Amino acid sequence: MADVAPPLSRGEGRVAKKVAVHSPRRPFSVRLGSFRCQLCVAGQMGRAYLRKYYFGSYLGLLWLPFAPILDLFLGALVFGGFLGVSPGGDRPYIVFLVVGSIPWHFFERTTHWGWRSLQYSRRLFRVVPVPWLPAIIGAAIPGAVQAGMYSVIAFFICLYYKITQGTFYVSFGPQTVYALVGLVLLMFYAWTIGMILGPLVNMMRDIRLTVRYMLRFIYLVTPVLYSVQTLPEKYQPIAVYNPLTAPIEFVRYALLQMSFPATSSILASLAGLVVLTPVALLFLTRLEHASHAQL
Amino acid sequence: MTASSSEQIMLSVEHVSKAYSPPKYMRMKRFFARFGGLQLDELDDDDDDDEIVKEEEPDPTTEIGGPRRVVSEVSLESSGGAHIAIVGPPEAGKTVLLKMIGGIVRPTNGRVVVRGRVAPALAVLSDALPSGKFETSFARGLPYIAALVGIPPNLVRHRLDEIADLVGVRNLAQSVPARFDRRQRAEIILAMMLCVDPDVFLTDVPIGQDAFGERCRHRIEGLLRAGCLVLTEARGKQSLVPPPDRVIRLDGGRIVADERVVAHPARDVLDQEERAAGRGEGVGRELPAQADVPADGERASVEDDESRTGSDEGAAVVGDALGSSVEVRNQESHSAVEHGPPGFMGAVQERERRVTRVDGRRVHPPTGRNGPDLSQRSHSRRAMAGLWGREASWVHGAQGGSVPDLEALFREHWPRAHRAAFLVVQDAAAAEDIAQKAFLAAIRALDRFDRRRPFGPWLHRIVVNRAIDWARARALRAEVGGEALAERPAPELVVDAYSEPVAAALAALAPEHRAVIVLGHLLEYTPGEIADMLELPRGTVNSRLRRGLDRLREELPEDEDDD
Repeated sequence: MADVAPPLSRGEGRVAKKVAVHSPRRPFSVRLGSFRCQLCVAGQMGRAYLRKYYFGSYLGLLWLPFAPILDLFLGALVFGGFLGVSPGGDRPYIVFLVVGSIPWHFFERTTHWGWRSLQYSRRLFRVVPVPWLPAIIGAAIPGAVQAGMYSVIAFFICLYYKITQGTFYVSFGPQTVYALVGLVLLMFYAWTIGMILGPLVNMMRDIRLTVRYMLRFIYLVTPVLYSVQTLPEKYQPIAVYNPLTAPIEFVRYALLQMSFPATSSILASLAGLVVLTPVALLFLTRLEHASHAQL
Repeated sequence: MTASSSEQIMLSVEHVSKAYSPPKYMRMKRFFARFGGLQLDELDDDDDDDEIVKEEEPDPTTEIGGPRRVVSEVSLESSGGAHIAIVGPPEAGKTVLLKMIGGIVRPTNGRVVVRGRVAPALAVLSDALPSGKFETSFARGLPYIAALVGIPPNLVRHRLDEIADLVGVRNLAQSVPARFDRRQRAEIILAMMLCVDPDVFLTDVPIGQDAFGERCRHRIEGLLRAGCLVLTEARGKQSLVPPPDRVIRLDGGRIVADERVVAHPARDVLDQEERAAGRGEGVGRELPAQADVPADGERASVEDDESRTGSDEGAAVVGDALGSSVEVRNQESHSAVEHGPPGFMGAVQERERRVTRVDGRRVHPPTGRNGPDLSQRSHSRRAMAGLWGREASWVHGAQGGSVPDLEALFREHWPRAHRAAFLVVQDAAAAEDIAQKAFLAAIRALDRFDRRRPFGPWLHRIVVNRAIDWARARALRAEVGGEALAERPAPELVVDAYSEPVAAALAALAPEHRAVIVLGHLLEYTPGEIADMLELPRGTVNSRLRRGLDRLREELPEDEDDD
């Protein structure tokens, strides 16, 4: 193999361009660095989370479709079959469930890897004290993959109904953009929770043990298995003021033409983000700063 | 290089300090540990779906100290086209300074201003490469590392072939980092950083004398000609080629000498660095005589012969120190700079004289048996995260050149190392020789020893590996083990568990089986630890243990079956 020629071609144009200043307190923008670099880091981490989750299992990545199928089967059997939960309208319960599961599992997976990300990447952070945020941002990748799986399953379920009953149930149009709005809102919520819980989980294992129950509780009070209208009236405010209700309802409205989320529900969702996101960012930044100054 | 690039200040380090504090949340964690009745090491047990990641924590019995200042009020400025060598003893703050310049570590005070693209080719980045169970290829890993330090990942993606050429590995892009050792990964990162057109290039990766090293030097010379500022952390003359324009010596986190190299450079500084790398500065006073240490220095001289084939002159000094004689070397570094006799260029020329040419290619003299010095001293959290009691403090002291600490380490570990060597080679003289050489090798490489780990397993690994090599070599030479056994070991070597019949039965085993049995049953390591030490799969260790014990059982008289 031939020796590689040294790069001598830059000559005149080599007058230094960008100036980087490394000081004790770097502005947020500087800490984030170049967007493209951080995106690459986040992408790499997100892929690693995916590989890690199914590593060592016999089925490996085949769990990606199997897990949603099992989840939907059990949900439809218990809630749609035994308990006879009505989704409202003439649509089958499984269609209602699978469309609601798309945003929920996007949120759930992103949250899971959001709070696990710092723990998972702590070896890296110990070696190279880089910003923590890309690790949390990367959590959206497993979430997106999971949501994609549910979407594919939803498509096949609807195709089945189209063939057997002549109705596809899911429709696309201008309102479909609300599905994206819902997903984006959920993504920000998941990142916010990750920013708060990620550093705490590293400090105390107890939080890690608690967070699962917390997520289960949120799952139960969020209208994924049922619609808000089917709840008894006195419990409806719980669902309406739950900040995750509006995003889920946005997705159902966009794909199933169900009712538009209540204004109070949308406001609760936006208010939650406006309050929580800056607090979470500040919290993460402070702990990151403290961590980088530690042994 | 244009006039403007060479005159423009590329790097300005302004009163930069870096201090590390102990982790604050450890106190809280300990409180909860006590509250919940748990041991600290239980806290990080992972659950079923998680990778087991043990957090490296300071010893809970160790008092948490205050902030530790590793770089203190350092200022320097340089324009492009210059090569600055940063030298200093271990823990002088060299790597941390480079990390701060590279933007990897944030300073506690002061600021660093860098113009242009910084390419930090630091060995620590090799640990950040995705590897292990969830491994990925270099095609993904290298852009990721580049992105971590702010270099556009696409630039690296487009230059993967160029990097592969520089490294000399075909299909580098498809290769998996986990299949390369840390040194190789560090060299690949060095190659990558050389290929990204840096304006400021930093490295602490030793550049060897092989073809890869030659290509790297060629590249660095090209970068210098193109106006790039190059900063290298140097540990000896060999890592300083091309020769630096300026040598900055750090000690205790401060600049103690800053010399521009013109015609009267600082060879003596570099000589001193080499020695310091081998033994720690200040290993100059005489070691007290010890019963276990051979006083004649004869065995040390064997090591000298080996070590002098390369650049590890420090080993000779250590060898002498452990034997009987020592030289005092407490010069101030700046005085060495001022009065260094032949100068750095002299050193380079001297080395050049030793370079021969074969078919027009430069062939360098062989380096030491252990290859280039890979010592990585770091003040990162990772490196400083644990001080394991007494032994850690001895190691720390020995790394800093403390003779009493070196002596304490020796006293603690010599008997078992000697015994282990004997039980593997079954030859008292050879065992003494092997254990001694292993100890010298360990001390020589002490500055790259990770203090968070116990010293014993590291030493035993060297001892047992050398003993296996020796035993294999003897088998190849068709020497008869039984005859060697005629030379009886010193009585203290035969412990109760290894009585004469057992020792004789051990001699009948293959060296590999002997080694695992000695490690497992004399030194009481677990199969997992033995597997790590001997770099074998755990299953192989278990089967060797099983077969070895079965064979021992066959060889032993009935009443000693339990052994």
